[in-house]
Amino acid sequence: MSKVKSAICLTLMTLLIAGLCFICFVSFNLPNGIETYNSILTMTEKDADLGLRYGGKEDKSDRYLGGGYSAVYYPEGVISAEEFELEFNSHDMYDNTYDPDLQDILRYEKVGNLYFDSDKIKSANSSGAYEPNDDFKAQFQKAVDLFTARYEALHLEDVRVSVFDGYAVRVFVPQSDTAALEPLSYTGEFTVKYGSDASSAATIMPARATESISDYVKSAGSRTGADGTNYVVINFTQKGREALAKASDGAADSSATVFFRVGDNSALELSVSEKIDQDSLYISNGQFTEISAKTSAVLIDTAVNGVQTTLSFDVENTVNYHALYGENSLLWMYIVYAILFAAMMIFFFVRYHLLGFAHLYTYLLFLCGTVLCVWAIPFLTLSVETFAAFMLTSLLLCVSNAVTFEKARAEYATGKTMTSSVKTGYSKCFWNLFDVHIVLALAGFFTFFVALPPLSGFAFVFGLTAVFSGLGTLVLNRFNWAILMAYTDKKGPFCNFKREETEDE
Amino acid sequence: MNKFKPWKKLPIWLAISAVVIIAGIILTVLLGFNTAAERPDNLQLEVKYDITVVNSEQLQDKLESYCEEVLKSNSLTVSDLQKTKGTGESGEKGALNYYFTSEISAETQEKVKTELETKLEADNDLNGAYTVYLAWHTETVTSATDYIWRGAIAVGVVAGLIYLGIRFGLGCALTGLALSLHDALFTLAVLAIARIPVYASAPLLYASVAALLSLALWLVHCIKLRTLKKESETPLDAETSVETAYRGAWRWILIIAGSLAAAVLLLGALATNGVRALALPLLIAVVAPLYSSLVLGPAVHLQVRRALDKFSRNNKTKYVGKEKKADK
Repeated sequence: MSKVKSAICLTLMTLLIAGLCFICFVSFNLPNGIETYNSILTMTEKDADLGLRYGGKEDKSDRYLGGGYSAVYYPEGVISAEEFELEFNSHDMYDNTYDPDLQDILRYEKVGNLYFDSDKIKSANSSGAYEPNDDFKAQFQKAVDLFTARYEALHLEDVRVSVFDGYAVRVFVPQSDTAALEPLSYTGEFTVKYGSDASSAATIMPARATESISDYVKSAGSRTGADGTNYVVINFTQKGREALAKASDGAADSSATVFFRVGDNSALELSVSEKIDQDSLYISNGQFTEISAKTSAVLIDTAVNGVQTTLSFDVENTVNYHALYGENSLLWMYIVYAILFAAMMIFFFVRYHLLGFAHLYTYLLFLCGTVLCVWAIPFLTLSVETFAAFMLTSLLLCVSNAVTFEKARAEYATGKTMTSSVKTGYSKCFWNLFDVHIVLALAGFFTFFVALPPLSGFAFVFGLTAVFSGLGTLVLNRFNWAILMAYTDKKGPFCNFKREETEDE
Repeated sequence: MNKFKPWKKLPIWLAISAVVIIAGIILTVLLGFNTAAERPDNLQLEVKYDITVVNSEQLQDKLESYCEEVLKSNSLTVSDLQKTKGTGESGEKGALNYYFTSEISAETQEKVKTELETKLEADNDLNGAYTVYLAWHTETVTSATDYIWRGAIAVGVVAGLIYLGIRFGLGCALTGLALSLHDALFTLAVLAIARIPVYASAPLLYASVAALLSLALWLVHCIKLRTLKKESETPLDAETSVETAYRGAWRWILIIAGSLAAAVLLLGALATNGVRALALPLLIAVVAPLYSSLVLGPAVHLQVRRALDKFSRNNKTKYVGKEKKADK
């Protein structure tokens, strides 16, 4: 490559890398003092474990910024000690006038850290302690099983369900998925009503008290169409199909609504303007996100096929957690990465002198490409898992580049020219490096297709970055090497390559 | 390493692996993994505060220092502290959640609460009604999405191995399969035996890392074996080719595994407790493939090569010429 061509290529490459690094990593306040320029890394969704403290934006926008929400589902008739004390202390105990609110709160008895309505407890034992009655205990266990099954069916990373203070349920969801918190607390029988408004609508499934909803509805699921529209799919039995067809027979003349309800709560509503006569009903209200469609589907499916409980629940004590792994998790991960990056560059510059720049350029493009992909691909977040996958393939890229440099070094030592050494060195290791990258990328992508979070995120990033590493080492690194070499006449010292010393005979 | 001949000690390596994996399977069945990092069964002291009153870092730090003083004076060891700052919107409060894994008697819980309340009452900034609310809570995690094993790693590794079989031969693919499977199981077994605290979803991740790394390290051997085959003029016997490939591969294997272990150690040393709990067990997923590719792999591959060579020798048809008709 001529010096002029090399200078043009090097300038363009430098500008490209500088531009990419700027948009990927630099955030700053704009001169107006109000707005902020956010880097791609700042805008990248953060895993609930890492949170937003560094690299996030602490505002109330609808972007996922890491962290998550926890809420406690209290059974009806059960309140927290805090709520009890607040209610109790808000009344004047020395006022003799009848206060129904005070009488209500006085019905509650302490059970562990909670307060129970007296109709849900047994009489006090010998030491004066209360415990819930057997029916409540049995129904509560069913509710725990139901909530656990629902949240597991969401297949979301970091979701957590726990029994809190013995007889309440605490759930945690990542900040992107808070739409699930309220609906998944609904309990009760699943019914389908048809009419102009919810209060006057007639129940069409189950139509008789002797029937069950499973006679009408088989299951529910969610789908995402090719155009990105999200649907809730309800699969009916023949009887369910006929019931809906019969009810919606006159819908063309007077439009109505189908109300899908779980207990007293609305799970889904569908405006009908024509007769519905199909086995599977695809419902999209145009506002479904993937998670809200999935939530509605899981709610309906578990109401039809899951465990049922007679208890109803109130969602309270919602708390926002910025980062489960600790507030500085992300900062420390960045610091660790910076140290490893520095160590890597020291190695390359010490061992290969200015040839280290070829590796630096390749690596920076690899890094920016990965950051852009994690930001742009909807199901990826910056997490410890994706970071681990990236570190593995970073090592792969470094080793691959080192292998190509070492092969060329060995050729150069035998007395070949630098151009010939590079060519021979690359040809000797090209297929080996190609195989390594293909095998690892295949393993990553195939794992991704079958895995569930958080393994799927790890596997996808691993596969994707293995491809980037392959392109980087086999194409980009050689190109960078070629444009850098055009600048020097002392090619050996430039790369810290030496000829083999031969003894004169 | 140049005098070390691991392929001559296959029974020892197999015995070690068998003992570890079988013990791991038994313990996993009986006890499961130690998911203490997830705080599956915890006791927590919740110190909830009104963010509109305790509205500065200074006051929040003061509240935290009171809590620490009281907990320390009662000799209570906090396993984790989770802070939520709250926004004040819709009554959202800030909170300090101190987690404990050991049991604390009801008397001590009450004592801690009383002592803290006394300290808060004596402080003019924090003694308002409902400014700070203290409560002890118990929590038992019920969700366990970790155990949803979908054979994902197996599918991924097999896909890589099919390619390996095509490019490097059946022997390399079979050894690679054995090593990947071994390393995934070995990693899970060590986690189960050593009762290392892990997040509920993490064992699958560690097994996956071990299988992938195992594949990568075995590829180094495969590349050396193929190069050797190409360069040698006459076919080498199984032991010579395994030995020569091993002599050329072990340095690269050590460099790769060593760099990865250093990165994991650095992450573990510097990161927050949460990340450390995820990162440090990753070392097992690095060490297991290192062990298998340095000692078990060559030994297994030698046996595989011998078996395949024997098989191909037995199946080689010999041309014996046309059957002559007997003279009549």
